[in-house]
Amino acid sequence: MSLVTACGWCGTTFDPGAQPSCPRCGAPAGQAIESTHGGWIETPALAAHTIIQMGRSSARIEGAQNPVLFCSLADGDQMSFGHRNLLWLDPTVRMDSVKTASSWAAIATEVPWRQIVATGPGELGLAAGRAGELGVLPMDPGAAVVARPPALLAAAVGLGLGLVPAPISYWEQDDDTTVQRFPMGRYLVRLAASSAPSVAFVVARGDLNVRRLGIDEPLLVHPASVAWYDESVRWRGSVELLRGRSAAFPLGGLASFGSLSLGSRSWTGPGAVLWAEAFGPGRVAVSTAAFPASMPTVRQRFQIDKRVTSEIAWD
Amino acid sequence: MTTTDPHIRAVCQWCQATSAAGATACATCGAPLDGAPLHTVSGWRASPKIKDHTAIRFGTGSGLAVEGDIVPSVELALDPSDGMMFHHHRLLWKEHHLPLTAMRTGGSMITLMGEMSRVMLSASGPGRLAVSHGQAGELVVLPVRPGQAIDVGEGSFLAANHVLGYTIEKLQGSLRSKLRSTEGFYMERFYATEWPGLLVLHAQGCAFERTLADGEHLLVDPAAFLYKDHSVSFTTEKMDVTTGVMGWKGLFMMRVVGPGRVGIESGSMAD
Repeated sequence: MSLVTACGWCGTTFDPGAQPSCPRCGAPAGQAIESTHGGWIETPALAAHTIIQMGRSSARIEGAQNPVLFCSLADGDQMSFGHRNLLWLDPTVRMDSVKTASSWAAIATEVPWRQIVATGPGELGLAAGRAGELGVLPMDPGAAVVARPPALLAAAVGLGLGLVPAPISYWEQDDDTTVQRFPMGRYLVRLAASSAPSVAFVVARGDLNVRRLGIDEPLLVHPASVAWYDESVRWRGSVELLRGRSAAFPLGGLASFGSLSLGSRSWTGPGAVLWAEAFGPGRVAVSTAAFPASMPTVRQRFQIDKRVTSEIAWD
Repeated sequence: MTTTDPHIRAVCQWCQATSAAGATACATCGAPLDGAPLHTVSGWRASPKIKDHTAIRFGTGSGLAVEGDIVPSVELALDPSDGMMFHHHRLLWKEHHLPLTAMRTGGSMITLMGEMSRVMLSASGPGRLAVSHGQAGELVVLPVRPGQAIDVGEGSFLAANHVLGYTIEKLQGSLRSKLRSTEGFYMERFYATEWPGLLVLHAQGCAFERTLADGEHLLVDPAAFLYKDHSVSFTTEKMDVTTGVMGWKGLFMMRVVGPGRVGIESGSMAD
């Protein structure tokens, strides 16, 4: 008789006597998944030498603050990643690339124009090159998540990758020019598992926390800190007008993009916080440090307050 | 004598507050109670590594939980009669119903000329929110007792509860041109009058603290300065060391003079 346990993070059953961690997501066996009082779950801290099984291939995780993914690809198995993430590879690994974005999108955003596809047999090493927690996303057939491109480290065979426009943007008008801003980035990467289970690897900036939202449950998060989310999550932008700083909104309040009407030029001073508002169902993962994005800085916000308020057009 | 004796209390080596015997972390500052503080030979002590999920109580029933190891975030659960202040760009998430209020923090010219955020926000309970600094490092939790004031270097403040007073202190002279860091033009001062408060800082890299005796002085790199007691005074000194071409001498240091505590961080040194 063998004992099996269900992984508290992804639900996979495995024999803890044979493996110290979940073979699909790497969560240590027997470790309770702790959530904060606010309902956030920290991505399980992966122990050194954690092994993720990907069919005949596997990936080993080493390092904590700047984790490295050592992939051991079986003959014919593939792994895709951005060329900037490649540390080393065996000469036996065949490399090819596929176009994932238009050249214009690649220039306009941080998305790599082409994604490298490595085909086994052989080993290779991948790293994000920054301090950040590594998260493993097991993907069941039909599942789809959307990730910030800088967060995506690698995707195993079977995952379809495609760019999707970011769900939030707004227009900033400054004298004669109008600029569209993308606080969650211009494009996001959609990862979809087709017919077989697969896995994606993401690296946060800093720590990675996940929140499960119920149906239509709302959540306000910093737009640039979003690392990935289930495709079922819906988004809209929100501006929170601060109490006491707006003649038009003396009590403050939350105004969503599309319904925002800021016609009063008497609204002066720093008076608003830009939020990404998520609605469940699904998971939202947030980095504790923000990804690069087109966020208003303090001085840009000052401009927004002084001049652009009434000209902002929200998507 | 047993640990169930309510008269037996564990004393925190970092903030000197007492916690219930058997507690693993200080209830006031979150420092682990299971180890002696690390002191260097020169008298610096490392700030305690606050463990993941450590909960700290403050105010009338509010809680603060430290989450994460690389870029730790602070999750705040505010009681209806409590509030917390923080800069707007530190916000990570918040509950939908929790309103934010902008605080007036002084002239806009002061903050525009410095690197400091212009907007200090205040959130009043009940509700939850989280703040994060966005840089790799560690948190330093400093209880502030009535009559005490702490000066914080620019960019290091993360959160403080609303019973603390707050001012922006301009540094003497045109120090900015002398200091090799682009930051450091202003300090943020937090002080407690009637009620004790809680101040949370984020140190880039590791944080160390040294307590200076009355009149004892020390040279500190301005970019590494993290905080000091208000009782600690300082001046800026140009070092007689050639650091550039043509005999250019461009090394400036802060001479800090006790009595009081001085905190430094290891990860913000200028390039």
